Amino acid sequence: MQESVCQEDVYNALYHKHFKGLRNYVYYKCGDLAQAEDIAQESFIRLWQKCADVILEKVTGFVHTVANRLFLDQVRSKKVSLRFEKDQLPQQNSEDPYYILRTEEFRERIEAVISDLPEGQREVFLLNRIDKHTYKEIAEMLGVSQTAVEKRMAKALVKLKDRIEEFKNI
Amino acid sequence: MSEELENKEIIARWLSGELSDKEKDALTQRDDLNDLKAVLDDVSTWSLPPVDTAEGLKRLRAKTATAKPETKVISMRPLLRYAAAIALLATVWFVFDYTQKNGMVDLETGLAETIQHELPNGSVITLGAVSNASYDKGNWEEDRLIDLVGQAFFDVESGTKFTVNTAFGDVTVLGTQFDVQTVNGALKVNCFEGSVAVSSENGREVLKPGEGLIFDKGTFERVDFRNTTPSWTGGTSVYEGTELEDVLNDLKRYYKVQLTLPADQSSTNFTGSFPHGDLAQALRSIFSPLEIQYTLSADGTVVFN
Repeated sequence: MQESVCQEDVYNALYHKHFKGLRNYVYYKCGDLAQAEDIAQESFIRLWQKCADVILEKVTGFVHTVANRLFLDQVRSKKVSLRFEKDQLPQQNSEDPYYILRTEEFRERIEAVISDLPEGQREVFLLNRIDKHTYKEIAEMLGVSQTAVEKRMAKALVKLKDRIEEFKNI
Repeated sequence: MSEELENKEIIARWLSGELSDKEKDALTQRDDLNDLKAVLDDVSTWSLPPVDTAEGLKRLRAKTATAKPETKVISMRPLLRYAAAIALLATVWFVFDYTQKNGMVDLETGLAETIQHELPNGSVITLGAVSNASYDKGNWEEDRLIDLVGQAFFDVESGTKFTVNTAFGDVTVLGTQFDVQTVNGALKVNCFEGSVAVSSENGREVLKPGEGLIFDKGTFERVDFRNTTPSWTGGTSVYEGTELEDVLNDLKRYYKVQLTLPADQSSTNFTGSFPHGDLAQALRSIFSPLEIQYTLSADGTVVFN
């Protein structure tokens, strides 16, 4: 028998594999972890209800599209403020040429710059950096071309680079 | 300096390590990327709180346990609708089959009409609005050939093989579910199950589930999609970046409506869908996302403001 999303073990495996990534994706858009979890959960409920209509290989695209629509249906908050868990700061070592880039203050500034990126750039940047997805994988998830993903990423990187230079010169 | 990095997405490919040697050489000349790299490496170590998926799945199951029977009831409705359509049309074909001398079966749909018909090999064809399909029943075992103008969805019994002949090329079935469309001067084929071969003067392409092909003005374009049946058989038409003009041509196949696209919208693309049962809703679905103002008069003419 061919594997189908309607088979409980197949569906459960998909949930374990993709839930966190989907939750992160929504968080990058809305900046509210509880809301992100609700939307990701609702997206997976829709997947179950539509299990007979969704091709197994296209599940990630489906749940990301649903999550995006749910996000748009709910009020799109104007400004997001993302917070990440970070490792302990390394021992301050003045020999390290980049030590200034790893101070707590600097990291908070970077967090704010990322939060201020337009939604499209922000989600691509973080899906690549935090969730370690390749541009190709992101393109499949979001249903856009790989070039479109690279364009958004390039814009985000240039903005980040310019702001880093500004901060260093203060 | 920054424009140069954004140009051709060099900076994005620099990060993913996909630059050509020439591009790499140009970048080693500059040292302003080191700080950025250090920050990006740091951001890569950031994380979000973990998720307890075992617990989440339990909550989801508790919710869907009651919802599931309900969706089953809903999913029966389209089947009943088809059953009604078949019952109505079966009488027409009955007469048809006896009057046809050469055994030609001719299926034709008008505006807003969809019909379903079982082919001699047990496969089922669903014909979309304003379409025509015909085949020779007497010769079926030999040719297994269907001529198609318009749009149709085929659910093919496994082990049977046949060819759909269109003005733009032939589509050969390799045991499968697929969708063929020859509307707006282009051939569109989507494969939902099994595999499908499309051949024309320009060559032969084989499609796998979730893959489609648009053959327009002599060029092939491959597309991906996610649903397991075409949306139009469920009463909606769905588009992704389609020229508005083509969308409106489809609209005219489902509704008695008069409209001419304003010249300044000729290069507008549409992403979205419209329903087949409600004209006012369909117009709203197309034009409000595009912010195009219009009025619908009682005689079915749409005027753009």
